[in-house]
Amino acid sequence: MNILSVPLFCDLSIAYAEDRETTYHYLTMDYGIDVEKIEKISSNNINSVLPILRTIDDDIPLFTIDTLAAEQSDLEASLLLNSALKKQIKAKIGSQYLFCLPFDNLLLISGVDKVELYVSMMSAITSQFINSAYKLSDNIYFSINSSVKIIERMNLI
Amino acid sequence: MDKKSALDRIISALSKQKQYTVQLKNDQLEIASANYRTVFYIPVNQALESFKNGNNADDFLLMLEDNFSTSEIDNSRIYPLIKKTASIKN
Repeated sequence: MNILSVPLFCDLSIAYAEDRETTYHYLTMDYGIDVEKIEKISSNNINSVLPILRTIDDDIPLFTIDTLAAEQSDLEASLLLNSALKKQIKAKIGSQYLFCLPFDNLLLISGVDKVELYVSMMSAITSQFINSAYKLSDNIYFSINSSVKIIERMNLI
Repeated sequence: MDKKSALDRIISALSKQKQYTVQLKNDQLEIASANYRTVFYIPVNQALESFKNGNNADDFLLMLEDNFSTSEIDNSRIYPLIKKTASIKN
C-alpha cells in the first residue's frame, strides 16, 4: 500500500498519519481520502500545537523546541510545519537559518553567522542519540527565504 | 533464540496472516493492514520485546489486532509528519 504523501523539499516529504498514542498510523492512498481535506485538517491540527523555540544553553545560539504537552514531543521534527514556530524562527533567528531533523523527536535550528560551528554542534548532539529507533534524516539543511537546500551530510545515520 | 531468528519468526508469522504485509525497513518493521488501509512502523527492538516471552507470534498478533481495531479515523488526531521520501516509498 502506498502511503499518502506530498513532496516537501529536497529529500523530504509530508506523510499524513493518525496519532494512536502508542504509534502513528499512516494513511494510504487506498483510503479514498480527499487529499486537500486531509492537508487542511492536518495543518489545523499541527498548528494547534504551541511550540516554544529556545536555545539549548544560555551561551549557545543553537535552538531546539519545547512543547507544552509532553506527548507532543514526538512530533518535534514535524513542528517545522507549525506556523507559530515559523514566526518564532523569523523573529529570533531571521529568514536564513540552518536546521537538521535527525530523529522524529529532535529538531535543531541555528543562524548562519558561524556555519562550521553550528554544523559541528548539530553533528555532536545528533551523535549522542545515534541508537534512536526514530531516525529521520542525516542531512543539514539551509533555508533562505523559504527555499531549502542540503548543505552538509552528518554521516551518522 | 537469537535476534535474527526471532525477527524471522515474527515476519514469517505476519506474512501468513492475509490482512498484513510486512517489510523490514532500516531498523523498523513496516506493517500494512489491508483491512484498515493504514501502515505503521514498529522499531525492531520493540517487536522483539513483544515476542520474547513465547516461541510463537500470537501475543504479537494480538497486539497488532488491538492496534488496528479502531478503524474509524479520528480527524482531530491526523498530523502531517515530515519523513524521508525514500523511507515512505515502496
